[in-house]
Amino acid sequence: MKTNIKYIIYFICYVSLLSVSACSNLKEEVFSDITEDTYKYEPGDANKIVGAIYTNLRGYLGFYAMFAQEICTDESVQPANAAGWDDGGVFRRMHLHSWTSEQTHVGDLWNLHYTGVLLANRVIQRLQDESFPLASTENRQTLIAETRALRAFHYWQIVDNWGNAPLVTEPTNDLPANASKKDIYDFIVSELTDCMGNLPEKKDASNYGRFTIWAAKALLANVYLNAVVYSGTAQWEECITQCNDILNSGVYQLDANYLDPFKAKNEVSKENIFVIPFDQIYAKGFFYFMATLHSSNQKTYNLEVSPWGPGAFKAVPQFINTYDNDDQRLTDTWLSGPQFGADGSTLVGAYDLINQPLIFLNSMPDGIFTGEADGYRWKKYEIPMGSKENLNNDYVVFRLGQVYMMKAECLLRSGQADAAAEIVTLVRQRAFKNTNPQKATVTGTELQQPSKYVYGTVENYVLTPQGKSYPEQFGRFYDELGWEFAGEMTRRRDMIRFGHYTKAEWLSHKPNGDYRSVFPIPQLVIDANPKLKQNDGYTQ
Amino acid sequence: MNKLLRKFGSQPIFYQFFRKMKLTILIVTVSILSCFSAETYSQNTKLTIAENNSTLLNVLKAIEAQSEFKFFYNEKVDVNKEVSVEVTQKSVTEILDKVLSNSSIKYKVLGRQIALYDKDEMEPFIAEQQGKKVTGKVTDAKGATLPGVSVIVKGTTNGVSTDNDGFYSIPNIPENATLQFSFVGMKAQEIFIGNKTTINILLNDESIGLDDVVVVGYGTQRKGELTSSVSSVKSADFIKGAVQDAAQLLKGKVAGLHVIQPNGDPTSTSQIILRGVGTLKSGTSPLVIIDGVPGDLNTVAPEDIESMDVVKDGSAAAIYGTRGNNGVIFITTKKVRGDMPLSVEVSSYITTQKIKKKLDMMNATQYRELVKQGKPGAIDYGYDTDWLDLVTQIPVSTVTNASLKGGNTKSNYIANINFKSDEGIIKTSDNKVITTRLEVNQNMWNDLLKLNLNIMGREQTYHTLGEGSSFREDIYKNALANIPTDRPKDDNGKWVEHPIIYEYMNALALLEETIGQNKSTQLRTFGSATLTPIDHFFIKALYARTTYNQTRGYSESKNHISTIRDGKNGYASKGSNYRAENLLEITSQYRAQIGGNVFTGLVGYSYQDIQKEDDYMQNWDFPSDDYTYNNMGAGAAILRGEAVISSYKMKSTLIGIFARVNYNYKSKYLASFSMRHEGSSKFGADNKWGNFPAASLGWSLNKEGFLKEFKFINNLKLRVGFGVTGTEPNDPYISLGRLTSNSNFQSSQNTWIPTLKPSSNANPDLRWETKEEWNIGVDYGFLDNRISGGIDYYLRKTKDMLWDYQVAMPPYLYSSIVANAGTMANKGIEVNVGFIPIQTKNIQWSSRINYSTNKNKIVSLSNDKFQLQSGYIDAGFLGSTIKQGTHRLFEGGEVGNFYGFKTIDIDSEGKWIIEGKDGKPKPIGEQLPDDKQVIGNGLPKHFLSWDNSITYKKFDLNITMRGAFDYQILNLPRLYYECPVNLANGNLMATAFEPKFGKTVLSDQQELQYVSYFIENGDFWKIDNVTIGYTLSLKHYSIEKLRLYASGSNLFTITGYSGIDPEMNTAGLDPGIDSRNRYPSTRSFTFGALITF
Repeated sequence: MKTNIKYIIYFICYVSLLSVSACSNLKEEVFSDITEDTYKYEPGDANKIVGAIYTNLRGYLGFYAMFAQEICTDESVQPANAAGWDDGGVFRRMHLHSWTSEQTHVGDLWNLHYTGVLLANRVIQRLQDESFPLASTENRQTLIAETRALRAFHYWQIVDNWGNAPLVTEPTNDLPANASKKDIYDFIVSELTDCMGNLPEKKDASNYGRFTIWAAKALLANVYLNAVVYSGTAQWEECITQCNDILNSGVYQLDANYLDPFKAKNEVSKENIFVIPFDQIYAKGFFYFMATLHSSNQKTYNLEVSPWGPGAFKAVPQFINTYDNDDQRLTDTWLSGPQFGADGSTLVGAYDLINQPLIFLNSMPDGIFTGEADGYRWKKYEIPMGSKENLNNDYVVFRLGQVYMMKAECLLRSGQADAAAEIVTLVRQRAFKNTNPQKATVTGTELQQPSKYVYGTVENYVLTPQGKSYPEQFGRFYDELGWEFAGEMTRRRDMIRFGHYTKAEWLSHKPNGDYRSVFPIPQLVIDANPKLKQNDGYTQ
Repeated sequence: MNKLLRKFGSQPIFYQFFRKMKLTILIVTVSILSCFSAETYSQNTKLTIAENNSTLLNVLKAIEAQSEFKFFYNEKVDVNKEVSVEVTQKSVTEILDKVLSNSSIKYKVLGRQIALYDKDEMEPFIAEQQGKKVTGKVTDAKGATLPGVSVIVKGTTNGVSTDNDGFYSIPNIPENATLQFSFVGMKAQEIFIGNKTTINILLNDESIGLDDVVVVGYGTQRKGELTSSVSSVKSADFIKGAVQDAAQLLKGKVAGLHVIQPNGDPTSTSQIILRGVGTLKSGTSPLVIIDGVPGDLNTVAPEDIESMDVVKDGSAAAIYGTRGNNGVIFITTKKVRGDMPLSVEVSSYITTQKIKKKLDMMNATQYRELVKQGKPGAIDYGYDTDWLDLVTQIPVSTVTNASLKGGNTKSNYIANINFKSDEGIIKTSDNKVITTRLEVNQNMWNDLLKLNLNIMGREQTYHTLGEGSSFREDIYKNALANIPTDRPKDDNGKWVEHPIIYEYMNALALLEETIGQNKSTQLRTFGSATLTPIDHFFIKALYARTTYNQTRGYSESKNHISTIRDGKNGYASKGSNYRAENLLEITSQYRAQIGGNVFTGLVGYSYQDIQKEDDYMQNWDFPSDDYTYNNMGAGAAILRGEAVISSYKMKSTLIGIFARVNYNYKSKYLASFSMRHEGSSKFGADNKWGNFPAASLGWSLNKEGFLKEFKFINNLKLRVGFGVTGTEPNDPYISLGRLTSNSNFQSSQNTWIPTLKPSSNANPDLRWETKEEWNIGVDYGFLDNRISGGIDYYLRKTKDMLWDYQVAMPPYLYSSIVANAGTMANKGIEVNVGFIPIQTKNIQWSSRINYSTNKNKIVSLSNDKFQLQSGYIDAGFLGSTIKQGTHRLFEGGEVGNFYGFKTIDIDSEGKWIIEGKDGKPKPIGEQLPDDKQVIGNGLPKHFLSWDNSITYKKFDLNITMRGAFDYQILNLPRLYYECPVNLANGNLMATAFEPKFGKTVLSDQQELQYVSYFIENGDFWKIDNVTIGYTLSLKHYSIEKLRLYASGSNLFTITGYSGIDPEMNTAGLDPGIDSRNRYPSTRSFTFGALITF
């Protein structure tokens, strides 16, 4: 029995030892993640932190976010097609202005811009309280100014898309209420004015794709141009001032050709002021052609991928009809007519025109359901031969052409039509230089003529004109904006500023309420924040 | 003579043993065994009794209180008879002689058991009779000999017990007599002797025996003493035939447990739902404990399992705290019990399968009709191809299992090896598994210490048709959609592809231009040491380590669509996965008996850590296809920075301290209390620990005096229990603020640097999700347990549900956060009735019906921390061209609700008319998201199964039927292939051009929509498994037992559902979707043999 007791004691000691060694430590062991508590910031990391806000901006070209600014306008449409594709009607609702607060486009846009704002708030605070060291080449004030300008850009998009929305300017966990359109507008103007002095004036490789003083001025000019929409008070003079600063700086020039700013290697463009850099390896996400081209067009460009189905992002035929035939911007911007492979072979259809020659026509039965050949396709950004799914082109947000046209519009609206016409003529020259250079010239009187756009609805290929010309003022200048900036995400803003976004009819679209000049706050956001008030008119 | 014995005191095992036996048997046994049994105890034990003017009962009680004697008697014995006795230091026989003098009551002493009987009743049978002699041998269903079986001549006390080799010999048997065989835990049998002199008999397990030991958390319990809902299924009752994993052995066997094989993929594993969906984020799989160690159902060979115990209710699962939310399944592998000579058992079976049903896709002739009609998208390439036929095969699968066991109570071993080679009906799909197990038990230090060592290994290899997955879903989808007038290869032997059609691929080329293999090995080593320093007390230490290694390789040749369409020029990927688990558990139990009160106390400590690693690399643009995936560096894409590499590693820890007390008073009043205090590294710093208490009570009514008159009641027990269990999320780091550096930023032209930003909304308040469960049940057994079963009602409430809740952005950086909020309730009833309709000499038919129903309700999706104002969560997502959620969970609703447009009609152009929000019809083109409504539910509300086992002489027949009722299925093949517009994307079903709503053919321009027209009722009744077997003994060839059987699974289905199989995926929050990619389910036919040497 004695031996047994000894054994028992051994056993119990051993077991106790086991439990002690296992202990009760529940601290997380982290291996393939970086945690905020343990990460040690080093000089140079500021770029990584600020850079994260810029990379978020690539979402601007997100499938829904990008088209949200286009397919709700008189310029383009994304109808269901012969492949049976409809995605639950979300694109149709953008065309019909019948979107709801659950619209995917709206939610994606909101997430894109508030992510930018929230990241910026965090970064500005950290830069201000010096929570990480800077590299010798970095300047704290420049970084703060740059981040504030970037945040102002997001707030511009927010005020433009929603009007009344939360204005959050520092990190917090408190639920915000709506700020008024005017408050957000004032914030943007004061932020940009305030930080302008700390932004770099020199355009060089180190600030490519980042906010320089010129990018900030182009942004501020845009804000002033639309000030009447945001604040009720026009700011034409202030807009002209900002434009002049850029124009007079000599930093930028119009590129020789209309498509130069959109080339695959457009970092050499002299015209581009602010771009979102993309790269087929490092910065993926620019693959607009997957949605606009027909899958057969794979052969046109010898693409490594096949575009999605028959392609859906198309020009509204009524818009195409406004172009002058000699305007090179028509063929530069839109893909039309018989389609060929790179080797010259005739491309064929795969759906309703299976094995028949594929010819993109400027006609549509309506804006609801189209065949694979219906409609021109947007192709403004160069698609180099043999492209992979992601392009190298950098997306142009602000370019000098835009600055010219903003100045022209302000002059026109300030009663200086001839001065405006001079600028418009300047911008038009490259569009006609190879066809009919005389046609480049426009006069102040012309700019005040009605638009060439025939508004009205289309059913079974038949247009029933609305019998009214839009916009009510400066119609021809409005047309100029369309030809110059088609697909550059300006159309919605232009239509609202010119006043017919919620009044005109095109294709299958009919007016569906003035309140639709802003989007509803996404339902999921409203639901999660009882302090928020939905925009007027949206019941949900 | 069929009278039950009653008794005092309680020494459960003996009590149960004798309670089963009829008085005559007892006396016979006593008479026989008393010859050899040492009478020392009865003579040496001296007792002092002073019972004046008392009853016989009190005297017996006094003796029992002072000694280890137990008394047995029947109602002929009048224990209330008045007696007086006063003795000091007398032996029991002296006392009994004194008390029973002048009485007709006689007694017999067997060791510590004493039987009292009435002389007039019993003596005639004890008297000797003249007759012939019968001999024979008794074995169990597995062919093992059974010692100690009672064999008596019916209606007499003439009987014997079998010897150590299972042999018996009874003399003096009259003509026309019948022998009765009975043994604990076995079904009693009666055999008419006739003119036979040798009767060998096989006794079957009696699964409803109250003596059965069932496995519960950290121990075992006798079924009779359970206070919670536990279902035990022995190997004899398992589903026979081809099974994919252990879970399928239980199909239809346990009320409330639903085992579904969602597709026919040979590598797929079963889905299990126990008592509905109780959690949102952590799935529905129960905790599986294999021989005391947590594991996966597919890691143990089904042929190596002795029994499975399913713990359904929370009061029993709570001892496992956090992992017990979905119940617990205990798997006990085959064991050696008692002395066992070397036994070798080999079983083997071969299976083939056939597609359950082919969808009615158009053949070339039907399709050509559409070409003639000029339907958009239809084209005649001039050939006639049955694509499904091209990608399918007649599969042959085999399983061979061999086991070896032997030893004695001190030292024994068991070794098992299992080879499984499966093929699927889709060409190339297969699964090869080798599972081995070795278990050694050794007692030492005079049985003070028991050592147990186990090694389980598993190696699995299968071809992959998809990247990392056994099956590429496009293959089946395209086999349906490929155009029947087309051909697989052109005249030059090149694959015919049409890359311009969206998502359209040559199904056969997908299959043949792919080479891939997944290989994995798992090793589980565990052992325990149990020290028993004094009676009824032990300390046990268990350590287990499980490691899993997987390597994956996958490649696509230059003739694959990935090159033809996507320019890859040969593609390959490779990955590996590693997982290691350590488990240390120390438990200690003490059992004390004070009078009729029995206490069992358990305390324990448990430590578990889990580590996971995974890496993956891909590359393309290879110089040659010959490398497949074996020379990853040979491709050019990685050099160009195009290919992806990724890896991760994570670790989590779970620590628990637990205690349990079981109490019973004379097996009549039962109670159990337990508590687990558990901590997980996955929660916020202040919320790591949680408490999981449980309590349950039981009352064996049949042991009460007021029921003793009802002799047909063998068992009647009421149970009530309450328990709290928990769930932890999968990702171990959700509560931490993490940074991601995934996207690159152009810091100066062409210099790309990684960026840093928070990767999610961290939730430092993350805490346990808990489930509270009430269970009220009754167990019953009537008419000699020919009718038996149980009824349970449960109410489970899950609180602080973990989910990715939508939060306001701003202020949150991301629009969702993993948080605790919301409450969900499940309530239901489970009924099982077992009955034995026929029990004769040659035929025995036993039958069991299981019914269960469950009602789920999402009570709330908010709590004090998070308010989900919208009150809903969307789930399920239809990809390609529809892009919508299919299910919605909302407060007051239930999990599994389909949420979409309700089609009520079709217009003259062939476009859908839906019911608008206001209840009025509207064209589908004017749909708004809020026109959607609940259009069905994918989770069955009622399950019914009927299991039959019939033996006739050496034949046995098992038939299992199952059904699920009151649920709907979203028939996606119809949604896609029954819409003419989809002709542009390939072939359609022959029904595509039939009028919808009996009115109009769907328009060529009606785009695809998620509408209720394609939601069908899923109700079904299946003859799921039929097995017929024949068992014979071939002693001359040294074969103990040979069993041959044939089996069919998923044989016949009665259903209104038009798809392949109404048995549907029930996992996740989007149950009931019949995907058009689903590996088709099959009907299988098996032939097998089992040989015991």
